[in-house]
Amino acid sequence: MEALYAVGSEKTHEYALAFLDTIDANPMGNSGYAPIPLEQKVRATGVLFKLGDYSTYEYVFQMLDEYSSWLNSSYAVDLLPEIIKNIPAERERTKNDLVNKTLRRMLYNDTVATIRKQVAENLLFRHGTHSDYKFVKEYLVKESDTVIKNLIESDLEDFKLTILEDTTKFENCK
Amino acid sequence: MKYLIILFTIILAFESSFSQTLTQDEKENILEALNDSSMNYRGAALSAIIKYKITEAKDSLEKRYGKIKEVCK
Repeated sequence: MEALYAVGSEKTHEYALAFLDTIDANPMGNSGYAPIPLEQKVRATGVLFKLGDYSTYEYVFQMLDEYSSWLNSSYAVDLLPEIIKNIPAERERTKNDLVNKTLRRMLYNDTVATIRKQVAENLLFRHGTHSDYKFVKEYLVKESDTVIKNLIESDLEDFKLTILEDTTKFENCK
Repeated sequence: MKYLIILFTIILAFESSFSQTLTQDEKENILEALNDSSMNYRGAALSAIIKYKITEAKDSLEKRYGKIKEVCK
C-alpha cells in the first residue's frame, strides 16, 4: 500500500480498504509469507491517513494496547500526531497514550537512575492502569541500581495497597 | 544479479549521499526484483520504489494488489 501511494496510484484508497477488510481472513494474500496482521493494518491505516481517511484509527490504539515496547509499536506511535491533529474527539486519549509510551521508553533507556525512579512513579501514579503496573513490575528485574530498584519495588507495593479495594482489577498481576 | 540488486537497494536506502536519480537499467533491475521468488528481494524492491517513487512500477503494483483483492473475494 505504501508503494502504491508512493507511485501515485489512484487505486490506493480502494485497495487499502479492501486489504483491511480481508487481512484477517487471508493474512498471506498472495505474498507467500504471513505478516503480523495488526502491524499491516496500522501501516495501511497510515496510508489512508495520508489520503485524508481517518476511519480506521482504532487500529492505532489497538496496537498501542497490545505492544508495550516503543519499538514494536513505532508504526502506531508515528500516527498519533495525525490523530491529535485530525480527530478532535480523540485528542485527550491520544495525548495520554503518547505520554505513556514516552515514559515507558524512558524507563528502559534513561541513563540516570533517579530519573528512572521518577518515571516509574509517574507511570504508576499518574496513569495507574493494570498494564502500567505490569510494565513497571517487569522492568524491575532489569533495574541495575539496587537503591532505585528497592524504591521502585516500594512504589509498586504502595500502588497495590492504594487500589486494594478493587481487588478484581489486579487479580492477574499479583 | 540478485546480489547486485540487493546490494544496490541497500546502498540506496542507507547512503544519503548517493545520487537521487536512477538510470533506466537500475529501475528495470528494481522492477524485475518485484517479481522475484525471494521475499527479501521483493521487499528491497518495494523499499526502493517507495524511496524513489518509481512510477514505472505503478501497473505492476496495481496488478499485484488487485490479485490480493481477488484472492480474498
